[in-house]
Amino acid sequence: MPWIKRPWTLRQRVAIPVALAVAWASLGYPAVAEDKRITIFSPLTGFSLPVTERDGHDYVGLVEVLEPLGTVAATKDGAKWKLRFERRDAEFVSGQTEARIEGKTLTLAAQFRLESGRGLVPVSGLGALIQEVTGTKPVVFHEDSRRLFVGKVAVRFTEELRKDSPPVLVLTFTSPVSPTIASEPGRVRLTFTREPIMPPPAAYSKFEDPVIVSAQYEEGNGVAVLTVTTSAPLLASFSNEGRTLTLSRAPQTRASLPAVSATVPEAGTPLASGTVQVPAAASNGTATGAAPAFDSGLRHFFAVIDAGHGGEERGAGLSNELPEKDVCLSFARHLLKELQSRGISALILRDADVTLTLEQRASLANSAHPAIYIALHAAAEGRGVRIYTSLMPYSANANGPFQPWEVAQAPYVRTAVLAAASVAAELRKHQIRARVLSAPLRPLNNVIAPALAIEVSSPDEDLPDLVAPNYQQSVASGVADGVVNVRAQLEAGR
Amino acid sequence: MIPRHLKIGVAVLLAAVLGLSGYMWRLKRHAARAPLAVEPGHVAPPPTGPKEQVTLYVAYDDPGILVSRGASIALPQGRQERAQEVLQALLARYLEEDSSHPLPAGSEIRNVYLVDPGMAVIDANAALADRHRSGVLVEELTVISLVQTLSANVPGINRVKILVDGKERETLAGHADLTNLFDTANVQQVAERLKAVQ
Repeated sequence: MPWIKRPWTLRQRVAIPVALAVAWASLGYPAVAEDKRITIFSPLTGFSLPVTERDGHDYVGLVEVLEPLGTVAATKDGAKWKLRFERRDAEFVSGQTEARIEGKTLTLAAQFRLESGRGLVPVSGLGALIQEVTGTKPVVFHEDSRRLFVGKVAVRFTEELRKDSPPVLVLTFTSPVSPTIASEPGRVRLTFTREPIMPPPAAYSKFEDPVIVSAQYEEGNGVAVLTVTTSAPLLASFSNEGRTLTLSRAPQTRASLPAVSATVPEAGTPLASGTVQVPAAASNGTATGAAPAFDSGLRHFFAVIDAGHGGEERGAGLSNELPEKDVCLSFARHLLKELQSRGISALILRDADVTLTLEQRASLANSAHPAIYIALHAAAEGRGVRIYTSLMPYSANANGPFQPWEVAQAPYVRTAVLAAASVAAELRKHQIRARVLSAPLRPLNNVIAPALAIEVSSPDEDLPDLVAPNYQQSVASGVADGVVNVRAQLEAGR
Repeated sequence: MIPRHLKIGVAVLLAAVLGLSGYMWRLKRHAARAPLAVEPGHVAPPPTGPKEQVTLYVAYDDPGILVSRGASIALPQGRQERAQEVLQALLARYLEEDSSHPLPAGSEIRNVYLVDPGMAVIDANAALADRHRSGVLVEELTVISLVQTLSANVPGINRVKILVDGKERETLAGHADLTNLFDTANVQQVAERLKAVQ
């Protein structure tokens, strides 16, 4: 019979897509909750894993959980899945809720699943399972927030509002921390992703202070968040090797106005060590009398000055009694004054002898959203000043507001080279030798602003000249002039 | 009566025993008089093969530059061994008394591994890093000198990782970042800039 082409009827046109949709759904493609995560903390490491949803239950790969904790091996034998962690054996059966671990039976919250040789266990009740499989005690599992603590890893903290003038909120941790500090109008959020922070005795604390109003502790999706409600800009400063985080009211100076303003700000109060300013509520008009200045939050600081080394890290020994860290700090203070005298608002990350990790430096600098980041170093070798940019090549920003940590500097390299050339030209005008180079130097690669590292050496063979106030002043002045010359380009890149 | 041939056999054997005893006593005396041999450390066998012309990127602390210098050294056949030999030649310069860029005594390149197509791993010993002078320029000169010398003499290398005693290290001596791979194209640009005093 010859095949005759006929136009589809309306019923066929509707029925075919519906049938396809039903067929697609009937395949039972599992829903994957990509945004759900679980975080595991152990004395050796802290890591985060994706959580997968199956039949209304959250699941996680058991081998993925155990691998960072010790030696693990798994073998599939039909529906059975045998696991060995260190010297402990466990056996699971696909579709069953009972597991045999070291001869004991443990009932899982949902059936064990075997998918392509990968053993999935329910997140619910994971703490008891991990305790049995690893033989570690204690294992604490915050099931609602999916935070698993294997062994004695807890980091605890206390909150204390000190009635200084102005009052400060002091957070004291039992181990060093490096939270992500984010600012929103009226709030400062400290997010702890890698630290096994445990809840304080009271999740909510209300303070008797009009500026630092309250602190709220919350956990969720593998992280801990401390939200401080504030009615004015705050400075966050680290001390005690990262164990103490102090939130204090920012100095009420016009220095916080945008740097492009023609106004010459007052010389600001010296900032505390490792400080970064965080904004207050936009509605507040009393703190500085300039509400719009708060709208852009941390963008008020045009330049972030990072005095290299500090605390336990002395840097180069320029002489027996002169560590690099002290010279860096001295230069940083000179540069702060020179920038401020030219209408450039600036922030010193480290204004005391404290230890800051490279990650903390980059994180603090990024939180301030500066137009330029300047790290300062000093050396006995060489003559004059060397201005370094990152060694990485330029690449356009293709990631929107989210930058990969390792290559965060890439979109800013061209502007950084421009700024370095400008600084070098100005230094030469001050009769100071200057070279522009690039170097494998952290944390330049992790900064989301044009980043320079400036290494200052003695102008001649006489080392004491390196610390001579006149020389430091002259170098700082040249650097500040160089920054001013490219101010428009730097501002355009923010 | 003992047969004659047996008597002769015993006599020959006795003579042989006496002769060998004397020879052994002499050997023992000779060994006792010989000076004690010094146990060598890690002494690599001298490279065999004809001398070849290589380019070393030599650092000069004053005025902080990198200069390409030709050198004629005996190179082994293997690519990996050649890479190691070239870097040893560079280090030998830095360990000389009047070096332009002194490195700590005992500095060595333990191994060079050509692991992946285009990737090399330089494994320096702890003496090189632990007692290296600290500073951005002085550390950069060491790192760029090593990487550039390697890539200039061993074709096909485009990424280099530097380890210290087989382990990853954050910085060489507080400044130069060793956590990342060095892209040889970027390093070559830096080496070009380090050639000139601006």
